[in-house]
Amino acid sequence: MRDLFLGPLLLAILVQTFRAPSAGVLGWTWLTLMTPQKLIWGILSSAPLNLILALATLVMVVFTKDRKKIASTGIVTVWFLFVVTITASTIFALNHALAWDGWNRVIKVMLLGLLIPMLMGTPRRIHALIWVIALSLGYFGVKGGIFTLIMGSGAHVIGPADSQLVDNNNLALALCLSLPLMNYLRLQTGRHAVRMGLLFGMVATTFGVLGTFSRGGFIGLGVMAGYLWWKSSRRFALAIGTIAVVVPAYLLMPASWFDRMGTLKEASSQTTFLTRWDAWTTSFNIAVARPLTGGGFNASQDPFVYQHYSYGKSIYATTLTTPGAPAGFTGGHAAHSIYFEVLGDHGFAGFGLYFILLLSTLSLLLRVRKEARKIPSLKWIVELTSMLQVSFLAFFVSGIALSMAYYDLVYIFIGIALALDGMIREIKKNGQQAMAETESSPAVAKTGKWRAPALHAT
Amino acid sequence: MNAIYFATGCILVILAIYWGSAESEPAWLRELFGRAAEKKPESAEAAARKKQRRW
Repeated sequence: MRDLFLGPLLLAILVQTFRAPSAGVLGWTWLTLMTPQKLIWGILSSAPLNLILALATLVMVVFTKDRKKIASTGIVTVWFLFVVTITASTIFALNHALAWDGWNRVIKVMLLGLLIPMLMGTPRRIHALIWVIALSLGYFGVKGGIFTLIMGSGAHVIGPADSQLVDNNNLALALCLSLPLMNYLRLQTGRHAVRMGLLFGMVATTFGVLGTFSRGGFIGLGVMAGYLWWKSSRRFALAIGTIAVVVPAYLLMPASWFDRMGTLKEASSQTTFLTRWDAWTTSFNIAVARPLTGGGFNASQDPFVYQHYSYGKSIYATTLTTPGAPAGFTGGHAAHSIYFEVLGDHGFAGFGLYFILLLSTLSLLLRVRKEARKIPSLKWIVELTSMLQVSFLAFFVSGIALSMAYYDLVYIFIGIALALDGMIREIKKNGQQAMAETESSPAVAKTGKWRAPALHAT
Repeated sequence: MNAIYFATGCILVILAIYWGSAESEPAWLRELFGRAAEKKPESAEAAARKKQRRW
């Protein structure tokens, strides 16, 4: 039944993509983040919907005049070098099947990220993209939050099966990343009812993060709240808001949740910490042995690679009991950290490029914010860049113990930063009227040229 | 309940996609998704009409 409902909607997006390729980017983002195709049954659930929409968008990028050139900045160069590095590490991978599988997925999402500055370079399109991200992840956040408040018995909130978010820790990180974007929309929206809806979404998503029982997500929430409080000009109101969430959470969360979070105090003696330390050490060993290429995507998940590079010191060698396995068998394990994941997968070269890419995106956001501050009508860019920085902070903190280095949203954020930078450059070059014109004049979309000044400034 | 929630989520996303990509945006979608600053300024004629009605 659900596929009969979803089918026409997807067809509508496909048709709209042929009229305006930006619809393809928005639809692709939706299929990537919310994965509605994994929430249905029937023939559509196994159809390559993402691929169809991606191909349609890429074809239209070639033919449309409504696209912008990506400015050749340092970020684009580093991004290109990172793609070269991950391709080299995949060619020389220790397990080719696992590596090409990872490469295939990451390249697709990087392509989506690169399309954003090309096709989404107007205020309305960027704002719509933020709406699509917030709605896609808010879908799980609100549902998870309500589930947590109603059930309250220790049932964990998890994402859709066969997706990146099926793991509770990954879902917690994704929800943490979406919270600042919901706040941006709340700050920007004029309608009271929509603002209240977004506030409800934020509170419910916060409970959704708590309901995942993820300690990384809990720390991410805490760091985000602290950072927002530090940066906010309305600290008292924010403190009251935080108390309004913390007190009900304290009263409603089950004892098992407090037991789980309590283990953070004695992390060094916890089995979960020891297994993570084991995985980090093995990933580091792979990087030391292969500093230029690493082991390729998901190298540590290959049991033989893990066993070899743990050099007989893995705790799994003594604790894991697999029928028929030789003595000292460790099995394969995820890296359990964005830092060690990239290090083990692509060596020190890839690790360096990855973090230069992320840090230069943060630096670009700061620069864009500084420029936008000078123009009162660009307050929305100031708020969006601030919220993106908070999302990045959550990613850096919660990512310490999660294998989410290649999460789609990170590359979408980089694309948004490039698009905002492109807008600022355009405004500096042509004045604000030019930006208003791209927004309001259909003729510009067709010809791709500037025309007489539009009536309505954005 | 689950199906209604799923359908609502999908419809909201589709509306946001349409609003973001349409050449001319419908006013009600602008009201729903648009930024407060995006509201079109009142034209001189509309302002005059409103003033006339008030008097």
